Amino acid sequence: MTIMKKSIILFATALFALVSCDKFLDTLPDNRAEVNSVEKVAALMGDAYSRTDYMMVTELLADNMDNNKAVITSYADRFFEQVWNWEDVTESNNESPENIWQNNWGSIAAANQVLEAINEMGGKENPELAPYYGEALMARAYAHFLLVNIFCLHYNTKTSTTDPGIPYMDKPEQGLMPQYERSNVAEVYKRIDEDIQEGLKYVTDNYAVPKYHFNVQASYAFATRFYLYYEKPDKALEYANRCLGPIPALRDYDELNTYPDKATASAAYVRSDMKSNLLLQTGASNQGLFWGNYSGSYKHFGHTTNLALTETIFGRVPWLGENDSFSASNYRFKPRNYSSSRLRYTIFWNVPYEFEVTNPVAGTGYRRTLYPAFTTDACLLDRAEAKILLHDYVGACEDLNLWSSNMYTTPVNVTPEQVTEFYNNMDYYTWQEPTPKKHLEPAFEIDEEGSTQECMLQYVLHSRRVETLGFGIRWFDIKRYGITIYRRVSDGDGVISSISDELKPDDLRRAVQIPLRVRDAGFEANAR
Amino acid sequence: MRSKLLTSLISAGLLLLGMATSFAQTKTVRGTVIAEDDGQPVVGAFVTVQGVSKIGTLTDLDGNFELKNVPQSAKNLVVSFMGYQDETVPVADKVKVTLKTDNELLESAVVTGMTSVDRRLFTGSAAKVDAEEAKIAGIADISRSLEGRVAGVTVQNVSGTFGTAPKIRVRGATSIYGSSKPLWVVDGVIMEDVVEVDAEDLSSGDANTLISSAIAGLNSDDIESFDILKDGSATSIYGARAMAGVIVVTTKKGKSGHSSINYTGEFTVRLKPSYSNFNIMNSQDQMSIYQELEQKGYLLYAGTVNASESGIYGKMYSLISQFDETSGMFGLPNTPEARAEYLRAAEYRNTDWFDKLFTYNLQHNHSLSMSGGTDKGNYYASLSVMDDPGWSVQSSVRRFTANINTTYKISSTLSVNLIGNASYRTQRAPGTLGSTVDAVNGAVQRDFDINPYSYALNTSRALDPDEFYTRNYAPFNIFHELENNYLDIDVTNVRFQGELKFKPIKQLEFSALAAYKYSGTSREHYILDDSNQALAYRAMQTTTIRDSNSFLYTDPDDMFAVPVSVLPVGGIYQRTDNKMNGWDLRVSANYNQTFAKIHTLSAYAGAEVNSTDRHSSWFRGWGIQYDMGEIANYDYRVFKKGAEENSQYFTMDNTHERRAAFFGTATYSLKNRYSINGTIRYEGSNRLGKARSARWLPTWNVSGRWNISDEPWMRKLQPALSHAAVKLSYSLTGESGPSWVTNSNVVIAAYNPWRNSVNDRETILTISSLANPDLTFEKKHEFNVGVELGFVDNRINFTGDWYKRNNYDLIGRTNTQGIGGEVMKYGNVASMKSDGFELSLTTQNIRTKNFKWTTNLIYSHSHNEVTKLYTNLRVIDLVRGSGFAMEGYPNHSIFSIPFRGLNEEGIPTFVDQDSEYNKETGELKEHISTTGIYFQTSDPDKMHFLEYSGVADPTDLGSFGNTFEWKGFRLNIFITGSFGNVVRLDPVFKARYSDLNSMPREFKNRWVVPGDENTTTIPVIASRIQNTNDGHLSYAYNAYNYSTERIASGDFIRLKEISLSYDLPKKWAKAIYCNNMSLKVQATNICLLYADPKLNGQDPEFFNTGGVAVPVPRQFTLTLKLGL
Repeated sequence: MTIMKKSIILFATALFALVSCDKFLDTLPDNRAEVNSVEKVAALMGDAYSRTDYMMVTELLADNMDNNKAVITSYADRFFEQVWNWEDVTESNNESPENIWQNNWGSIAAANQVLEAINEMGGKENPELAPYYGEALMARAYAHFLLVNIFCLHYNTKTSTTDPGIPYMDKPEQGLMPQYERSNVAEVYKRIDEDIQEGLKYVTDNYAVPKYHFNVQASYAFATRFYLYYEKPDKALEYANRCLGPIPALRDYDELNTYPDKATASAAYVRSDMKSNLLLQTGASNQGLFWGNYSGSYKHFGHTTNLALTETIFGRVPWLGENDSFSASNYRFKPRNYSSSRLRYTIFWNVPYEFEVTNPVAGTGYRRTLYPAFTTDACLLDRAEAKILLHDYVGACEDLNLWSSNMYTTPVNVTPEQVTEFYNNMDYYTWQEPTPKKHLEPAFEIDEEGSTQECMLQYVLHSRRVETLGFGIRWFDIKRYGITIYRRVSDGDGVISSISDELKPDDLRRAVQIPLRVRDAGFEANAR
Repeated sequence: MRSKLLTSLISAGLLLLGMATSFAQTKTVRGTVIAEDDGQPVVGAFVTVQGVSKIGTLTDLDGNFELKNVPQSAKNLVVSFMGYQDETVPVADKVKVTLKTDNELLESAVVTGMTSVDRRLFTGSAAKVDAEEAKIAGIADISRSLEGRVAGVTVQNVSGTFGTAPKIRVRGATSIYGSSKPLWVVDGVIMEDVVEVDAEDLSSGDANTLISSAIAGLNSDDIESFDILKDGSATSIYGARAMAGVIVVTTKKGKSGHSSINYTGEFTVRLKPSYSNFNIMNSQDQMSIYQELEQKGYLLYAGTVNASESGIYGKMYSLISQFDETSGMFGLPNTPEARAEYLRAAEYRNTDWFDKLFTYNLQHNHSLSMSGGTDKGNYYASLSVMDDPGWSVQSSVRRFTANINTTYKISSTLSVNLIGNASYRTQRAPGTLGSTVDAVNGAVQRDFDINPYSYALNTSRALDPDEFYTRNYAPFNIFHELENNYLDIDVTNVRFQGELKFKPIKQLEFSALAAYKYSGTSREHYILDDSNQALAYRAMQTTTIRDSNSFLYTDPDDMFAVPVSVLPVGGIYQRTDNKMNGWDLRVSANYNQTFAKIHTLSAYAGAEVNSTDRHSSWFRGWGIQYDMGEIANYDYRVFKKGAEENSQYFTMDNTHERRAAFFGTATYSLKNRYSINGTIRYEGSNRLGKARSARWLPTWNVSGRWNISDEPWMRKLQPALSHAAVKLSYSLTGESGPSWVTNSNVVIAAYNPWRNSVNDRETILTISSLANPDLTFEKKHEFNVGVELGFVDNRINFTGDWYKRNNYDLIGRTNTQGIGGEVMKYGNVASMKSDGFELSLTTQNIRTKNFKWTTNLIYSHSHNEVTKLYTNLRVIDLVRGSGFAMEGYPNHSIFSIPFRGLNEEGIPTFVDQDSEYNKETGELKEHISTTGIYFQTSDPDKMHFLEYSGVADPTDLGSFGNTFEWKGFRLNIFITGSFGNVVRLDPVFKARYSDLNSMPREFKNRWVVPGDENTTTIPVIASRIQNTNDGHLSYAYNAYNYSTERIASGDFIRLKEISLSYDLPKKWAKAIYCNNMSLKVQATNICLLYADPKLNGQDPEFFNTGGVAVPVPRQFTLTLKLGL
């Protein structure tokens, strides 16, 4: 009997143990966080910004780099070769399409996680949470915007309803290997539009480090670019006006010029207290080596002096007299010419090369760079383009003159007529006889070649190419305006000896191939 | 009733057989068998006539027997019954036999850690190792002594440094990313590691491997035995933690009525490694290589004098440019003659680094134990001290252990057992930093490495050991650096445990166990003021060096800044602390009852909870002036630099592990011949986060055993076939998978993103792992068949096991579409199958009064294959020496790049990934090139060019031991072998070499002039021009390191141990007031009897990764044992 009793007691104890076990096992295994406060929501928002840049890839794809292989004998990185040759990338790299893919979807996941936490904590009606609600929507829209622009053909009103898009993620992923269907580009653009419209209502400037978050001005700058890409120049104009205000605070080049050393100036270019920088992003990147004075393997593909002279930095501009020389001294932030043996290159050196040291004793870590995702200068040019598309050429010239007067040492004041005349006197680009003027074949309607509109567009595209050199924006203009570009082989002495490929407006390679592993997992590849 | 019938039938059959063969005069013997402990009759006891195996019978329900046809000549009867000692009684007409219970439980029981099971009822696969026999004198870590002792258990000494765990596998790998480490259970309590070091990292040589062994604090003299539980049936009581097997350690206990005091002293000398065993060039050959380098455009003044690392040539150039104002002389005149003379001196140098970096220091270990007991209680207590001044420079260890184990019987129903165990160890090791893997070419590199062993192997013998050369722009001399850059490790382990046993009635026992474990380790890395590592922070002799030394700091906020040192004075101090606190509580009940004398039921059930908290912290202090009274004088910029670079100033980390489990096992046995067993365990863990879905795992096993030799009809084969049994089991066990995969719910962790300006810093939260609600335990189904056979009165014992395993729900890394934010995710996507067999044979070849010769032979084979794993790997992952998992291949497979000879310039050529693979025919149209290998490629269609070379883990394992005993002498010769794996040779080929590198002798056969490609496969030393002409040349040399040319078989046979011991005659011992005394001389790791000649001295077991890793030395140990 006593044994029975004892057994019962033991059994009862065991049962009690079982019940209390779940509580015992609720102890978190490590120092992971639970997002349950406003502070943590704010902190998680920091994860909604990609820590990998797209500019390395888009810059290599665009027409800002020629092949210097003939001059450089050091080891060439195969990843750079594949990207520059518009091939499907098989090599891995911190800046590979796979990392662009993963990091931007990661930003979206963080934004969705924030939105979920906000929802659980009372939603956007809670005034403390509302700014993060807005920010999360903007960040989610921006990451989708980059993904769709990189991995899909560019948006247009004609084919985008059938062009394969990407999914639009509005909640955290569940499950190990969910399968997704590709929607279409138009659908993605529509969803981005919705997020921007909702997000703009709530964004503020009250973030701990506002320049690394979608503050109000950055949000407007993003909206401007989005609507420009969405073929809605009227809306682009509206948001650009809001972003820039009556007197745009453009980049203070005089201050940058005080730096004795270009490497330090490049770090100052992306300082958060520069008013012109609206949103800053960082990336594990080699871009600083490509666009700084670092020789060797990072100059296999480079912005040669020949390119600078014929197309970009020293490409002819309307305000310059026909016989006037155009040199570094015309710029307030002076571009530099470098040469080593037969290799010559010209750069602004505004993409900093920095190093994050994970182990200072061993000296190991990551190469990093910073870049302004949005600036007032670029927004001003976006507004100029919107005005041109809306046929307001005088207004566009005002913007272009404002931008130019800040960029160059001479005050610039050109009229639409001067621009038209200037560009009509210029030959269209051929790969042997390069000029800044390339045939524009956008999917949307523009006036015929030689028209004021076309000439004004040539001017604004050229200005943007100079403004964003090294920051990867040119590729999107090439896609939007159907510009044909070539893979040119330079012999280093400024002579283009041959081309290896060309990219016509209808070339499907304008959509970067879906990364290999993603395709392997069943995601529909881009047609080739 | 039925069983009685069966007994009678079988007895009758036996009798018939007996009658047919006996015609001599016989008589009939009747008797009764009773048990001593309860005075009850024994049913089913076997009664036989000594020396006449054909006659035998079993006792009936009343314990009576009748034995007919007993020859008149017969003298004795033997009565045996399971769980009791055999009893021999003289033949009489009427006998009464009383059986005593068998106290030697250890011999006849399998200890599962929680309980012990009668070996004759045990249905699983397990092996017992007697600690005394297995012990390798002079090796303080007991886990190493299991090498070659048990079939199916591989022990790879990937590093011989004290405190590093060997790589132990029970029946091979059970997981792809998990550790596959067996569970260690000491006196019923699970040992937890203070740091979780996974299988790959064990061979990394990183400092945390020094604290990776959970049992390095156990004194080998305190250990009674090991039980290695191999199959799922044996381990199922540990269910969800036991997928990789269990090793149960039982420590010594006192025995009642026997008291003793014992001393054991071990004195060990280790041999220095010798160049004659390695394939390293002498300095003359080495210098000729340097001269070739010079001719080919390297080692010239310009590139060498300001280089970050340089040797002979760098020194020569710096002497040439060194002007002494007082003497008006240069360090070395810049004349061809003076230079030639300088270089000639180096040619003759032949520095023996091994001789200088290793010592013959005597390692000694003293252990003193006392034990004793009475009917009321017993105790065992011991103290030990191990002092090892170090085999190599700066590698000393001192360890102290104390152990007490007491049992007290409070009453006839209540007893208590208390165990206390403490150990402290202080150890010194060469200063080391963690290694990093270069993703581009897969080369493992470790900055500032000063591991004596790898230094001796990799450093040119032309260097002067008394001279300083250049490393990291600063002066470097290995002896000076070892003195100024070292690690001090302190490890404290304690374990307290108490168990209360309550036995209200004979059949039932309750027990409650509580244990508390603590481990505290600290690792202090001293980088002294004058060490190369500290001086590198202030090396700026020339502006060239100042501008290229990456250890200097340039203030980004100062536009005119030049590089400055952030460590202008002093050295660096780093400290890592790891603590582990754990407790266990277990309540259990054990029930044993025999019904009607033939039905035995034993049941065991209980519940346990475990908690383990780990804490780690890390700190790095700058500018500590060791020379100036150990005071820190730090430069403020070190913090500014750290903040800008986003490097950590200090860190801490806490993890918590909680487990709860309920378990039960029951065995039913009929007449002790037929047993069936079932076990179930229901375990919960917090490892997978708060999600309830993945928290609990039920595991189970069903098994059976048939003791064939106990069948009466088998008795006639006695003693020729003295024992036979068959076992079958089928089980499910699990493991919670790799420690970092815990994302049932989304895992969000804090992170400091890099920002270039201190003003922009913010701490954010980041999603480190997306939610995977389907995450679950890794699982294993196992089917095991075991056979036990004993011949010639058990003088020949054979056990064999065959198993088949199906591991599923394994954690694998898989490609996903990445839309959630992660392209590659860990999840339960993989499966693996394995099978194997294990044989062990023990024979007593000769057994006379004075001489005994025993042979042990063990052989096991295992094979596994990854059956499901969808992931795509890069070329570099597949060709690396650690191997990788790929569907359709064994886990840890190694592939090689097919080498296709040297081209007319001496550059190696390979089949590359542009080879066209025909999917239908499986044929490969080879495309051959020198630099066409893309190491980063992960496109499955471009992988077909790779050649499968083999597997990194040995598949076959054997050992052969012979013991000869003559009077008090005992000679033991033990040979181990391991087969079936391949080893990647050290990556010694490069596109460019420096004047510090040493080269293996195969360089002598290198390609020198065109035409050599027909006779050699050793590539040319590429000239500067060749490197300039082909920027990808490093791909060719890396590919060569990973080619079919650079792979060797890992098979080896090692003469592991020869020992001779002598037990002094009692009277001699008495003369010095001892009860017994013995002496033993043991030689360990004597030589490799067989290894692939391609290895050229590279130990196939050892991974030469630098850091703190050194191989297990060749050693001689003298052991003295005294018993008072």
